[in-house]
Amino acid sequence: MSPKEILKVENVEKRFGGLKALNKVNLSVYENEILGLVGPNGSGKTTLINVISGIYKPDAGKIYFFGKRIDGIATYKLAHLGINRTFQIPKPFHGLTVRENVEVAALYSGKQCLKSFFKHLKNFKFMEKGYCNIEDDVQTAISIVGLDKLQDKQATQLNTSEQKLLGLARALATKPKLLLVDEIAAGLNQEETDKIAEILQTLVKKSISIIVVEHLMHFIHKITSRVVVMDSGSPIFEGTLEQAANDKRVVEVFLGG
Amino acid sequence: MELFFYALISGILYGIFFALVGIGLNLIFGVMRMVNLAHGDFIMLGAFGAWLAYSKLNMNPLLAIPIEIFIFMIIGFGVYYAFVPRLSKSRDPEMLSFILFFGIAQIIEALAIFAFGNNQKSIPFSTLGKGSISILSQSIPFSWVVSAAISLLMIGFVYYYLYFTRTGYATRAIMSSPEEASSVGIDVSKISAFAMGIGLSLAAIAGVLAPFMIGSIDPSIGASLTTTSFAIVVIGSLGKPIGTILGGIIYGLAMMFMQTYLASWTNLVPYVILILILLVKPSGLLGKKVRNA
Amino acid sequence: MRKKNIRLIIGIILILVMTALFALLPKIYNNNFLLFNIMLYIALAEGLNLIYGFTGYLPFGYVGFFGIGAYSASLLILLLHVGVVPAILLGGVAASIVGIILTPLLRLSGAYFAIANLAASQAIYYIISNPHLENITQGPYGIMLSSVYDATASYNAMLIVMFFAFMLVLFFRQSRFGLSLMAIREDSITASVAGVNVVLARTIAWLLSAFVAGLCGGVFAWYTSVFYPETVFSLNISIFAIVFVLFGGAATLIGPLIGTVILYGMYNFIGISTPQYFQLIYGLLIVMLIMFLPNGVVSLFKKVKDYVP
Repeated sequence: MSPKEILKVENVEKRFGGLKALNKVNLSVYENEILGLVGPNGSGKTTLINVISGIYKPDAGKIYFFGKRIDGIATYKLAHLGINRTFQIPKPFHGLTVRENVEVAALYSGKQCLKSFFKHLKNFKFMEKGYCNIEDDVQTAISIVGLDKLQDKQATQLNTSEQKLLGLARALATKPKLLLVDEIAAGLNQEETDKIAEILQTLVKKSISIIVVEHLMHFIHKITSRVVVMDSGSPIFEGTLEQAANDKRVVEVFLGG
Repeated sequence: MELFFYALISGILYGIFFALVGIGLNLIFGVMRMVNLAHGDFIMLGAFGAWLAYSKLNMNPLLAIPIEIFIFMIIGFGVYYAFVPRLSKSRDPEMLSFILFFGIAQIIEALAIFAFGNNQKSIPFSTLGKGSISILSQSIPFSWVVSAAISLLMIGFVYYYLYFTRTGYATRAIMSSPEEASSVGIDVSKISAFAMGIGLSLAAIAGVLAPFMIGSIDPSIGASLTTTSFAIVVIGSLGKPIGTILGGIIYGLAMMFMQTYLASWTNLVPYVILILILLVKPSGLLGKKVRNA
Repeated sequence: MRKKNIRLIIGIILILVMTALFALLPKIYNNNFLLFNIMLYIALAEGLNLIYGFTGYLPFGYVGFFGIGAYSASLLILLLHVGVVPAILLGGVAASIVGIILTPLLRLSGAYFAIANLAASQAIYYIISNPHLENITQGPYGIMLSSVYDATASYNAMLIVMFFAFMLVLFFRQSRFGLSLMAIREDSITASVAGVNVVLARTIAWLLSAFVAGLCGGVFAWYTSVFYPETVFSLNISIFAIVFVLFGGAATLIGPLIGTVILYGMYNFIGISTPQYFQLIYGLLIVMLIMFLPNGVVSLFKKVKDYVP
């Protein structure tokens, strides 16, 4: 039996002024896989992530998530549907604590809180932000990335690698089925990179599919089963990393052909 | 048709003056990303300088210009080093500068009341030359023409400074990116301080001309001059000093045509233009992006 | 007990104490006017806190909503003979409607929003005070509401509005809605990635904030019963509210309260007789605050900050 396709990108295009950042992109993501998205700078990887996560609207093409059309849907609704992401440059809520950062995401993950709202209303606890029973979700997300000890710190006080982990925890708190990870390993040391690789691998076992955009090949090599190589806004190769290394066009692109 | 030409010519003359009113605010924002909400109060101080020169020293008020340039340069350096470096390091420099300069505006206004009292002061128009001049068979007060000419000259100086001098180049480099400017060896804080001095001096010079263009002055005129300056600068696009000329002229024309044809609604003009421009093309007519999602 | 719950209880106690205090003070202190004004500015500062503290938008033209509330309530009473209380509530609604018209301004960021909002309030002022509209708004000649004047009832109405403003802020402070607003304030894109409907949330905060100012305007009109457009559209009202919030500490319940009581008290002491001295002190205070205490007085209580409502 072939694995189930959860995301399907069909002929997606995105223009910025005269520049075609994405040109007829076709791509699928299957259940329980980590797909690597690689390519030189400006090849459209981050633009594609931004389009899938709803930050940009595509100019043409369709995107399906579990068979449902999702292109052009607002970002927050995508978060409710189960698509979430991290940012290349971490963008935490600076003034809030680590825990609060994750709480916001858990509270707004689209979970139906109304039932427990009325229960809390009866017990006169409705002013409390905890009425949604998110404690477990928050705690799990924080533990997965290992920020337990820092949870009462302000996000500003974290270093870059911790902020990246926080971004991951926030994404996890929305219970995503598809996670888009944009250059999370860039600028981190070997130890930190290994830790993140390990985290991502445990996530797949919890049936979260992941798209990883990355420049670091050993990182890609370690965690992905399949890669898509992008160049000038279009995918030019799909397969394993080993195959990619033997593909003429891919080699050309990477050696600055 | 008579009215139309009168509104057109006076609108352009006023527009040139208003360009000078706004240009200092725009320069400071462009270089430091600081919102000088005390801009109108510096104009007011400049106007009182002219009044002092005329009424206490019996000088031609225009002679106050070089003295004020000197004084306001020093004030500009002082203001820069007292506030800007510390503010730049804060959480939200743009917003905090907005409130900080509002506080400075309050201080200036209060001090001006101590110094000059609450009464309105004026300088006779004739000190800039008697009579009127005929343009397209419209008779225009000579003082307006002189004021517009001086404004144009000052704007010319700014243009020359920004585009033809070495510090001007450095200033424009800082406008586009302070980090990169400093990485190529530009002393960002010295040049920014200088820009602050120039910005305040330009405000003061506009102030010297204000008694002839907007009539009598008192310490409270600062606030409305600040809003007017904002309207002009936003029309032209914030952060681009030369765009201010366009902003000034559009503003001057709108003002004069309104006064000619719908006088009682004239006061609305700056505000309505400001809101419309911000909503329709928030970057100003020549500018870049200021919106968020 | 969790910190948040303790904070909630402290907040409720604080609100009840303040409300009881202002309900009883007129019996022992006869400067009713001062008490009314303190309540008015507490409510305005808390209302402004809803939008400035929790979303970071600085509404420089906040007074526009106040003026709209005052004029709408008065005109409903005078022209359509609506009862006072419904008229005041409708004044709040009118302010929210103006808020809806102004929602496109929320697309602007930082100083642009503040300036555009200021411009909007001035534009409203010039429209209402225009002599051509004398038949409707009395133009620049002001409003006389003496037919419905009632000092005690209008004082109590202000008390209720203040209570309402307190409760709103406490709700923002404690609820997931308030948390989502603060998330938007910190980074709107990340907030939408976290699942928050950014546009909806900040529009709600904006309209509630406008509603509070509108109610304040209506009650003020009732209490003073004679006023001019420049009274209820005075930029000083915005400025006072902003400085009170900043001084005390934004995004808290107690901050604007501390700010108003201390600074309005000071204003009453020296400001009314010698306004320029007050203006000078005010200016210096703002400068010092921004330079040395940008998060207000409450930021001094670092150790117990989790318990500060």
